[in-house]
Amino acid sequence: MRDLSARLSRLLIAMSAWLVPSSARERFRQEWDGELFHRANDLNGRDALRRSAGAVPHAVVLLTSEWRWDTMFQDLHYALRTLIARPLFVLAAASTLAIGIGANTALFSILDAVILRPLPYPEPSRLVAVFESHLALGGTNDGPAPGNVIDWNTQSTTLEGIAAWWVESTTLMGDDAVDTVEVPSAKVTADFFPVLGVEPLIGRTFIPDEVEGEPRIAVVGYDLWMRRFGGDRAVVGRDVRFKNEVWRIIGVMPTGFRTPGTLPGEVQLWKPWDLEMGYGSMPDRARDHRFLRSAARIAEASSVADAQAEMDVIADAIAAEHPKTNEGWGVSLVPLRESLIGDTRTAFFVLLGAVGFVLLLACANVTSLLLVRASGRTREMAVRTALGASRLRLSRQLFLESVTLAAIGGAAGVVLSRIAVTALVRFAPAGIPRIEDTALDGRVFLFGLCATLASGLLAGIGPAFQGSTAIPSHSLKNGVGAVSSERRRRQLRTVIVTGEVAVAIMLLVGAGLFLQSFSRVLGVSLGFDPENLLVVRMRLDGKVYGGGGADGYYRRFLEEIRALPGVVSAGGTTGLPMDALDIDFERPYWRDGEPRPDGGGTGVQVRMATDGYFEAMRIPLLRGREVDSRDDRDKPRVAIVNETMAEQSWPGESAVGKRLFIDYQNYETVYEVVGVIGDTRFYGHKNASRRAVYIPHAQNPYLPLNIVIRANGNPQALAPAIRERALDLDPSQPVHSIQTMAALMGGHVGRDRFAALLMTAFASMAVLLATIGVYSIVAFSVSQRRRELGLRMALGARSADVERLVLKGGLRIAATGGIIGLVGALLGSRYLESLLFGVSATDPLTLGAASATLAVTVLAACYLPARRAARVDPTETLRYE
Amino acid sequence: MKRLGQAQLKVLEAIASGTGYGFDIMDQTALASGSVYPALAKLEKSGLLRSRWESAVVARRDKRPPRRYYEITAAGHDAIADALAEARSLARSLARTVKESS
Repeated sequence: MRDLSARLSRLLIAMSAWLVPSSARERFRQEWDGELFHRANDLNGRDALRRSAGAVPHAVVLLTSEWRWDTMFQDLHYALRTLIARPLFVLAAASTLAIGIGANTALFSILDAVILRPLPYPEPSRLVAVFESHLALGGTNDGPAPGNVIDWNTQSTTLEGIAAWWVESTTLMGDDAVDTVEVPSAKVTADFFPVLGVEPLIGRTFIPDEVEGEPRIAVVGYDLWMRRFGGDRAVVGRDVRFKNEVWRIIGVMPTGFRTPGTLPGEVQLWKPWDLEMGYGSMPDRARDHRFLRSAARIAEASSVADAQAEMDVIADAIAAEHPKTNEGWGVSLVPLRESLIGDTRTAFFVLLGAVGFVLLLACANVTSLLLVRASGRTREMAVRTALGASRLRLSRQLFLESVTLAAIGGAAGVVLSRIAVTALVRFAPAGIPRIEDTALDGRVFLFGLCATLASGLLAGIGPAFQGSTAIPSHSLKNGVGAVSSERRRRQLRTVIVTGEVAVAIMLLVGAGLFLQSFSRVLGVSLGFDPENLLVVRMRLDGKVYGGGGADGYYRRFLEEIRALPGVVSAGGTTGLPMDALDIDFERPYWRDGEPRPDGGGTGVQVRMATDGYFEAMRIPLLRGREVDSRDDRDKPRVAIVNETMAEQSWPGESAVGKRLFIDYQNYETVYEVVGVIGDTRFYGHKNASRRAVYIPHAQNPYLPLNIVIRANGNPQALAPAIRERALDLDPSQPVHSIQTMAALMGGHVGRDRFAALLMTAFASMAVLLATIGVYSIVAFSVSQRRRELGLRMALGARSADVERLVLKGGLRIAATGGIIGLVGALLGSRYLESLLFGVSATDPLTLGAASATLAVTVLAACYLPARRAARVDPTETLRYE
Repeated sequence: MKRLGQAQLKVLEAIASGTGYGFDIMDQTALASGSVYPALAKLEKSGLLRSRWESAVVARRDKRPPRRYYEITAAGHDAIADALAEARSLARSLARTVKESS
C-alpha cells in the first residue's frame, strides 16, 4: 500500500513536471522530491499522496505565469505568415476541414430543428400526449375515446387539463367558386388552448359548453384573418357571413400557432367541441371509439411518472366499471415531443455519428499533413529551442497554426453547410416532423464554432506535442540525429491512417446496410399498383348530403370521371393505403353462429369502397366478386374481405358465402362475404397486412371519400378536368385536394431513401479521406526512402520487387485498419438494427462488399507511389551520397 | 499593488514567522498543498518571497535531496503591513456600522 502510494505520488510529480516550463522544471522536481523525502518517515502513504496532488496546481501556476498575451499576438502573426507562404498546403488542409465541418453543421442544424429544439409552447416539458393502449392487442397507442377523456378530466389531479382535438377541413363559402376554399381546421375541446398554453392574439378562446351551433363559433389563425379580413380587429366578436352561413369569430391566434401533429400555421380554423354533449347520449361508443388526438399538461407539482401512476389507477377503475368497452385498456402518457418525433430520433443520431466520423477523418488527414510539414520544420524548431524558446511557446505556435487552419476551414464549412441544408431539406422525404424549421441560427453557429475549435485542437495536438520536442543538439546536426523523431512522426501517421481506414470501413458497412435495406423496401410487393394513380379527396356537406345523399353524389361524380378521356378506371374508398389522413378504424367482429364476445374481441379494419375501387387500384380479386352497382341500401349487407381476414377467420375453407357480425353501428347486422381480395401493405412497406373488411359505400355512405383514378398516362394531367366536373356537379363542393398516389406514398419510402442517401454520401467522404490518407503516407514514405530504394536497386532488386515492397507497406495499413473496422462495425451495428428492413445488421455480404471496396481503393492509392518507387533511378539517387 | 488572497496572506505570514519549508507551511497554515504551492509560486514571482536551496553538504550528509527554503523580502514585509492596515480600517468601519445599527 505504502509502496503503491509512493509510486503514484512520484508519477503525479513526474507528470506535473512535464507541464512546467523547461527552465524551471529541474527545480520543480527537486523541490517536491526534497519535501517528500524529508517527510518520508512521518507521513503515511495516503497523506504523502494527498500532498503530492498539490504539484498539479503548482505546475499549472508555473506554466501560466509564462503565458504572455503580447507574445501570443506575435505568434499569431507568425502563424499567419507561415501559412500564407504555403497556399497549397492551406488549401488542402482547410478544404478538408471545410467538408467535415460543413457536413456536421448541416446535419446538426436539421437535427436541432427536428429533435433538439423545444416545442413552440410554454413549458413544453410538461406536455404529454395521451393514448390508450391495450397490451393484449399489441400495445400500440390508440387515440383515446371521448367517454374516457371526459372521465379522466374530472378525476385526474396530476394533469392540469386534458385536451382533445380532431383535424379535418372546413369549406368556407365564397361568392363564386374561386372564393370558396377548403381550409384545414380542427375541432378542439375547451381545454385545447389552455393546455398548450398559447394565448390568442386578439379576443378569446373557447369556454366549456360552447358548441358549434348557429352562428358557428370559431377561432381563426393569423393567416386566414389577414387573407379574409385584411387583419381587421373589428371582425373579432362580430358575425361574419360566408354566403349563406353565419360565423362568429371570437379570437385570432398568433402567427405560426401550431396544432400538434400539423405544420405551423397549417390549421387556420378551430371550432369548439364539447365531448360531453357530442357523446354523452351514446355511452358505449363514447368509450369504445378510440380515435381522438389528445394532449395534457402535467400539473406544476407533479411529474410524468406521478401522472402515469394516477392515470393507471383511474384507468383500472374505469375498466372495472365498464368491462365491455375498457377491459384491458390502459392509459399511456408519452412526452409530447417524443410522440411527435417518433422513430426519427435513432436515425438522426446514427447519421450524426456517421458525419462526426467524417469530421474525425478530416482532422486525421490534416494531422497527417501537419506531421509531414513538421518533418520539414525540424530545423526551425531546433533553432528556436536553441535560442531559448520554451516548449509551451513552440506548441502554442503550432496550435495557433492548426486553429487558424481550422478557422479558415470552419468559415468555408458554414458556407458549405448553408448550401447543404437547402439541398437536404429539398430532398428530405415528406413526414419528417419539423424539418421545415431548419435554419442557420445562433445555436447552429455555436455548434459550427465548437466543431471548428475542436477540430483545430484535435488536428493540432499530435503535431504540436511532437514538434515541440525537437532536441536541438540532434536536429541541428542535420541528418543522422533527426531520424529518431522522424521515425516517431511516421509511427504516429501510420497509427492515424490505420484508424482512418478502420472508420471508413465502418461507415461503408453502415452505408451498405442502409442501401440494402432500402432496396429490400422497394422490392416489397405492395399488393396494388401505385403508378399512374390520382387521388382526389372530397368531403361533402352533411346538411346537404347527409342521410344517404352522398351515395348519389359520388355515383354521379364517378360516372363523370370515368367518361373523361384518359381515365382507365375509377373508384372510391374511405381508407387508402399508407395514408395518415384517412379514416381507418378497427372494430371487433365475430363469425355467424358464435356468441358476441365480451370486451375487446378480435378486431378487423373496416373500410367503405365503391364499385371500381379494386379495379382502379389493381388489387387482385381472388374469389367471388367485387363491389358492384347492385349493392345498395335496400339489399342485404355484403362484405369483401382481404386474404389475411379470409385465412385467419375461415382457415382451410372458402370465405365466400360465410357470414359475420361487426360491432359497428349496431350488433344485429349480418354481413355476407361475397368476395376475397389480395392483401395490401396498408401500413407501409415494412408492416404486414392486417385483417380488413370492405363494405360497399352505397350500403353505408360516408361524406368524405378518397377517389382513386387510374390514368393511361400522366395522372396529374387529369386534375383540371376533375376540378371542373366537381364544380359543374355542385359549385359549393370543391374537391379538397388532388395528388398522385406516388406523391402520397413518397413519405414512406422516402425515409429509407434519405437515410441511404446520406449514409452513402458520408461513407463516400470517409473513403475519399481515408484514401487520401493512405496515399499521402505511402507517397511520403517513398519520397523519404528514395536513397534506400535506389540502393536496393543498385544491389540488384528489380522494379517489381521495389513495387511490391511499397505496396506491402500500404496494404499492411489497410489490412490492420480493415480488421479493426470490421470488429467495430460488428459491435456498432446493433444500433442500426431497428432502422433496417429485411437485412441483418451483421450481413456477411455487406461486410464483404465493404472490405472489397476499401481494399480496391487502397490498392489504387498505393499503386501510384509504388510505380514511382519502381522508376527510381539508382545512379541518380546514389550520386547524392 | 495587487491585493493578496487569503491563502497567499496566510502563507506569507507563516514564512514571516520563520517557517520556510513547503510542507511545514502546510502544517502551520492548515492549507492543502494545492493552495500552498501555487501561492508560493505567485508570491515569489511578485517578489514578496525569495527562495534558496538548503546547503548541499547537509543534504548529502543525510543522504537526501536538498530542500527549498523560502524567506520573506522587504516587499513581503510591506505587503503584510499593508494588509494589516487594510484589515484595521475594515474592522473600524464594521464596528461603526454595528454600533449605529444596534
